[in-house]
Amino acid sequence: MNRVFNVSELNSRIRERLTTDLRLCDLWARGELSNVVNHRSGHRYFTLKDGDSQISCVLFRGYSGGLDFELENGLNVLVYGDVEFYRPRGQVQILVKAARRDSGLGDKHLELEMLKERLAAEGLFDAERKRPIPAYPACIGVVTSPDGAALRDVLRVLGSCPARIVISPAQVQGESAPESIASAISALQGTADVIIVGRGGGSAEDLSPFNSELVARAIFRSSCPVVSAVGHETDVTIADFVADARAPTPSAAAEMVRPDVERLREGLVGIEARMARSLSANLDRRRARFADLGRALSGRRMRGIVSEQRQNVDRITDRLISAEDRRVEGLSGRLELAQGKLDSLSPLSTLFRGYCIALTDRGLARRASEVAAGELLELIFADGELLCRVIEKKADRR
Amino acid sequence: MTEMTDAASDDLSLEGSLAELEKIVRALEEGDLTLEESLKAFERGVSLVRRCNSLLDGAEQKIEILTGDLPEDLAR
Repeated sequence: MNRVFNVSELNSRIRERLTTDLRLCDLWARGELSNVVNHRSGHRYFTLKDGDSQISCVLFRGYSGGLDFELENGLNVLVYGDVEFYRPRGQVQILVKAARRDSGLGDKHLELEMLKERLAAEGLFDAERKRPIPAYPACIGVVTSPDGAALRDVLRVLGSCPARIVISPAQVQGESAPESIASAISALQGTADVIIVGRGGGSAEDLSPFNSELVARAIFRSSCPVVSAVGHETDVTIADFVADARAPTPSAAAEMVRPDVERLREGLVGIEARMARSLSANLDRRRARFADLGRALSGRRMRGIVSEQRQNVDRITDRLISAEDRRVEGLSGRLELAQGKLDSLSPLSTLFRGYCIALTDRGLARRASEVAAGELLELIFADGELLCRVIEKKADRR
Repeated sequence: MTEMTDAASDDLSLEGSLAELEKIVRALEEGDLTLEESLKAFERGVSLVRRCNSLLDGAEQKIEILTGDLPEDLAR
């Protein structure tokens, strides 16, 4: 696919490609200055070159404050910045943010900057991993020279604080210092709750162990927070970047680490008061709840009792009613029965069927033999009585 | 509150005591404890406060050195 770009599109593309490459950002380049132009605007334009190549550079006015020397043709320098592509002229250039003279020391500087960059990229300086210094450490570790003034300063400031102080001696200058400091830090692991690492002031060379990777990594590995205290206020080392906190001097480090006993005492009084308050609040709450519960309980119990009683009454009423019913039923049944019996036994019903009862003046006449001829008989019918005289007696018909 | 045994209080560090105190105060203030529990917590708290105060009262500089001897000017 052959696409035709116009120049602006092409340059935009190139520019995008160059400026999104992180390897071309925040870099150091070394070379000789030539074509230095100090523009009226305050910007500086120059070319950086070596035996074979050259590249354009621009240092805008805003960054020129960081220059501690005048840019002159022929000077060997180190420049720091980002690679840029200037579209209007189709030119690759370095947007310079800082420049240093490249002397013998320049190499060391460059190394240091490179180490810093590498450690930063690895996350050793990340703010998120900085741990707070414990307010009341039981054990304070101190990594420094046992003979130095720094140790005496630290101990004086710590005074009679309620913590063990454990010195882990280290050699703080010279060839073997980085290793010595690193192993002194390691030796305190598991013992100290916080570690002060440092030394008093000295030359850049004296402080250089605290710029070493060994010390940086030992601080990074520490399981407890580390406070760095290297030299004076103005000395900043890699150890300071890695440490959980940086103190400007050893005394200041001790100040940061020392528990504030007065505040602690006040805090304890406060804690006691809070406990007492919440305990009594707890009791009050409970008392109130008991009262509430008591009320709720009695109300509920009353209602319960009433409803139970109501049910009892209902049940009893039901029982009464059905008992009454049954009793009445029983009674009426018996009544009917009795009535039936009575009816069937009653001579009256016999009379109604057409029979009659014969009475003599001696009483009921059950047989013909009981009555003599010529005697008077009273015959009782259902609807009335007849007074009769026996005319004749006949023999038994059966 | 299983860790609130009285026997542990003697070897507890200042920081440990304070951490436990913080927990006790919070538990008391949340008010979820039973009466029995809050009384126990309170007692424990008071004994921890006492312990902290005695740690502070008895504080004097205790210096140790991991390797070698303590320099003469620091040894007492």
